[in-house]
Amino acid sequence: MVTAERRAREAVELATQAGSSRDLGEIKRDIALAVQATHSPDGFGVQEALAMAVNHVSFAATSDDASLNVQKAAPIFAADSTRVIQRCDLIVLLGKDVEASTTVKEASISVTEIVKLARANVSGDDTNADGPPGSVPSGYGLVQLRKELEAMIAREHPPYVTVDRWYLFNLVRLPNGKWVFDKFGRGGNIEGYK
Amino acid sequence: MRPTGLLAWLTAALCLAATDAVVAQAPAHSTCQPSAQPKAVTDAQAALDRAPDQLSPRLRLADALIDQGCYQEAVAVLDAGRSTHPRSSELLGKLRDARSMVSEENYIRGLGEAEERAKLQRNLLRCSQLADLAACDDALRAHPDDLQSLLAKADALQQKNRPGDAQIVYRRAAELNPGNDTLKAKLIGAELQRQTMLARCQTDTGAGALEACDGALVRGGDDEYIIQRRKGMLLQSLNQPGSALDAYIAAGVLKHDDPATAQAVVTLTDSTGRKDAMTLAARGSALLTLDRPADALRAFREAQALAPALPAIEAQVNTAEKLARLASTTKLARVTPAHVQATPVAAAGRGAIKETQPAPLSAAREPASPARTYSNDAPAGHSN
Repeated sequence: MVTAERRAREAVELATQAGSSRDLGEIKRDIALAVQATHSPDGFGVQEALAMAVNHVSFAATSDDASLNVQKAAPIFAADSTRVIQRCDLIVLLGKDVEASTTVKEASISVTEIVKLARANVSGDDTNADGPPGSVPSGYGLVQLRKELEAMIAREHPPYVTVDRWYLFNLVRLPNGKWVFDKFGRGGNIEGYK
Repeated sequence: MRPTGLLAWLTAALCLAATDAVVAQAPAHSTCQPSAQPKAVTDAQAALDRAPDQLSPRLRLADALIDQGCYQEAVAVLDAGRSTHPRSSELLGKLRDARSMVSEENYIRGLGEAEERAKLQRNLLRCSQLADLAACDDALRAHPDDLQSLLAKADALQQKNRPGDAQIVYRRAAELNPGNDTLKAKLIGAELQRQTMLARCQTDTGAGALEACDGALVRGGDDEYIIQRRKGMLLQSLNQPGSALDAYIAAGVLKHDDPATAQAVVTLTDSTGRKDAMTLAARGSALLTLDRPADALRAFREAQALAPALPAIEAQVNTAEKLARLASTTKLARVTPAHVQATPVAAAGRGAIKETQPAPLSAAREPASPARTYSNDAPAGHSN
């Protein structure tokens, strides 16, 4: 989620930069970079980072000792994330339109929209015009999604703790006392706490 | 069973432990209906019915359902076993997996919907802000009756100086939303713009006038004939005989009996040398209007040879044959009255002519063209 937020802020900055330019070439360059920050399998954009966050939580929820809290929260988090994914999809489509634009006027229509979407990806939007941005899941941005995750972790009982020490060959001892290999060195084990 | 390899990783990555609310979102597959289940499932169900308190038949049924992709149904079967096997880790594990698959389905469907919504939003943006008609059509293809998309397309058409086409789309929107005052106002606005363009079509000259004609044209409208004929004239003056011929043919279909239009069709088919079946049939009709049934018959026959299935071509040939025969006998009567009187056979023939020639040729004609149809009978979702 940290990466997703960082990349989303980069996208906002680049799109805003494009929005203030009157040079078509410059606009296209900045928007291409904003699109990359939003969706890029190689460059790990917002979309990929968010998908990984969803995956991570989902794995945790399917492990044998997953708490009911995590089991319940994971699908909700996944569902709520789709609004951000939708904005990412739209940014990509509009980015292609900018790339194909022949005039600044034509490009600026898409750029204006990309700026709005990129901002909403960070702090949410007010889709139904009835409150502050991100007040309902359909308007969530990454800030709201992060808070949702933090709330889920805060509800864990006993409290959630990270693995504090690695041993040789990435051997870790889990809070429940079991020993496992942390194959990916991420402080957890994708096979769950088996 | 879960897929293996990369797909397994991807799908497993999306596996979500479900709340009841999320689980309930998944629609049942059509193949999950009891009547559509395969033998493996019905056998497992029968085994469970025989021993409802035993764990293994319940698990087998759940596995069979999962194999069919009926995750929702598997959850129900496993959930029902919790009261009799509350401590079975196998049942609880399988239940968690089945629920995660339901959630996974929901999530994947959500992603697909997000993609579709993004496309729609993009198309609406381009349609409304840039009057991009291709984007309008894409939006309407996905949601043909969506008011916002219909309005956006109609507005875009009006912006492109095509009020005639805009009216058709506004009308479609009005049909779907009767009593909508905005639509009524827009329809009036479009008609006003169309009338202005119609005036320019009739009074101006050159490419501007032609554009005005295109904008004012409404397929099936009362003034379609006038506009098509005017287009023909303008296109001729712009030295575009092929397009002019098309316009005159369209006008000729709408109104058969205008000799000026018929003459234009004949002249332009001669000058362009076009010999396709449709053009030849139109030429035949025009020649009939000009009381040249023998020439018309030749054109119809050529058209028939090229396209035997051309609508109404057989009737047109028959009509032309009849009129050509009639014209030939009439001509004979006019040219050789003294000679005809010389023989009894000829006298009988003259009597026959008198009986069969009371009406002029044009009055004797049967409709030579098929019933009038309009291109705007198609759904309003496409640009004309």
